[in-house]
Amino acid sequence: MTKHNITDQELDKRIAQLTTEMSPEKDLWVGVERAIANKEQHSASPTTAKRHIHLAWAASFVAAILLTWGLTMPSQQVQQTPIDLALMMEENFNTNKQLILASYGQTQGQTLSADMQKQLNELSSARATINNALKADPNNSDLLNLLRWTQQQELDLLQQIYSPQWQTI
Amino acid sequence: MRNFIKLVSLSAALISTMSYAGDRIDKSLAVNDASKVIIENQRGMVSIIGTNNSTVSVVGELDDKTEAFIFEHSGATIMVKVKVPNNQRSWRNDGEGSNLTIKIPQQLRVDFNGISSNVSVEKLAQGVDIKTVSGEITVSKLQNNIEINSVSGDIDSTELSGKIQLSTVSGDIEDVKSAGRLSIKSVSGSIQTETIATEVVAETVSGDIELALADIDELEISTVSGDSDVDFALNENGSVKLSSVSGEFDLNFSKDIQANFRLQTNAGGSIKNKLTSDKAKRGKYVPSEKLSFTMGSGSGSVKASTVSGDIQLSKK
Repeated sequence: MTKHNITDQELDKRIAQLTTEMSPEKDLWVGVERAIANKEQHSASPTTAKRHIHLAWAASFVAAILLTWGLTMPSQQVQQTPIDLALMMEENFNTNKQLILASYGQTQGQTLSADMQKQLNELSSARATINNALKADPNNSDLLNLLRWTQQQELDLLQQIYSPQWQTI
Repeated sequence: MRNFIKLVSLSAALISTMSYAGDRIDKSLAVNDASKVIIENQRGMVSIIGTNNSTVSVVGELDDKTEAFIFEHSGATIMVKVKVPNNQRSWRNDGEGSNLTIKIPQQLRVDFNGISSNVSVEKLAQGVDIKTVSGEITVSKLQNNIEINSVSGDIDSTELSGKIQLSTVSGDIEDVKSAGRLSIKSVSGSIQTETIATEVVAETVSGDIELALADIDELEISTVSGDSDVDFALNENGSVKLSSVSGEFDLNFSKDIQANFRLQTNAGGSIKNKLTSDKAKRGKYVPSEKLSFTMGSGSGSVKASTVSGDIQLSKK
């Protein structure tokens, strides 16, 4: 009963107390040494066939590991790119933003109406919030989509604010 | 002599289309093979009404600052333009603008451009493209491809059908009895609709969204901080996609639900499920919540993702 009542924190504490290494229950080196010493004597023993089978198994096991490793390597790279992707999206966004501001001959210090300034602040703090959430979960496609959408909203708004028509008011 | 007659008739035609500041006008033009009417009026009020006639007519009073009034065929287009000086700076609704009623055969497409001009448009079958900056837009009984944009003006729409796009920056949008495909966007303005459209997209940065929907095939809502309140029924194979940063989602289902749910908050939002007994799983190390479950056949799909906004599911 008490076992079921262990809290997450307590469990975490116990996990932390465990050693990070796992050593075999008996010393395997003795066997390894003996195997090396016996290597030259094994020629005609009846176990050769068995050993060959073991060897074949081991080889295929290594081959399988290498193959899976090879296959998983690209996917690991894919998993890592979203971190860069979020960064890349932000860099790309900032470039576009500067381009828009420059194309309307605006500098960052341009005074805007209070409401529009508030919306722009809100959008930029929303981007910061999403980027923070992405740090905890860099593979989250929903968050990446939301980031892209928020960036687009900000660019659209800048374009609307600085368009000549709006300036005539 | 022939040239002289041509010149005289040309100047007569020109004079007939030129009127002066503050003048009353009452003019009409046969449609012939025109398919589109383009109207430009910067200030004041323009009422556009679709008719069953074959003429376009303009009745009312021109802007006090009018330089020229253009009302003519230009290819397959009929132009109605109230020209005022470009350096006009006082775009306020101080009653100095035009006040026009324009009647247009309803099979023509209509483009309207205004700055502070208010505009009302009704009974057109071939779609409209309406843009104002601060002018208010009131539309009703329009069909086909409908695009309505304002920056700070409000949009009020009634009984639109077809492919409908309503968009403002800070104006509020109120839509009633629309049908077809509806897309509503605002930055800070609020969005309110009571629609039977089966495909609905609503986007806002900080405006609040209130949707009273019927049976939905596709619903998409994206907000930054705006809260969304949605009443709807989900059709078989219907799809709902919601995303927000800090905005809350309150989904109220009617009718039977046959859908697969996948809900997630990433940093602080909570998920309340009043549809089934399934409870959200809290993240161990980050304050996130996740909830996935299936109701009925699971043919439809409801996906919602927020950063810190709450999600609530309930049934009428």
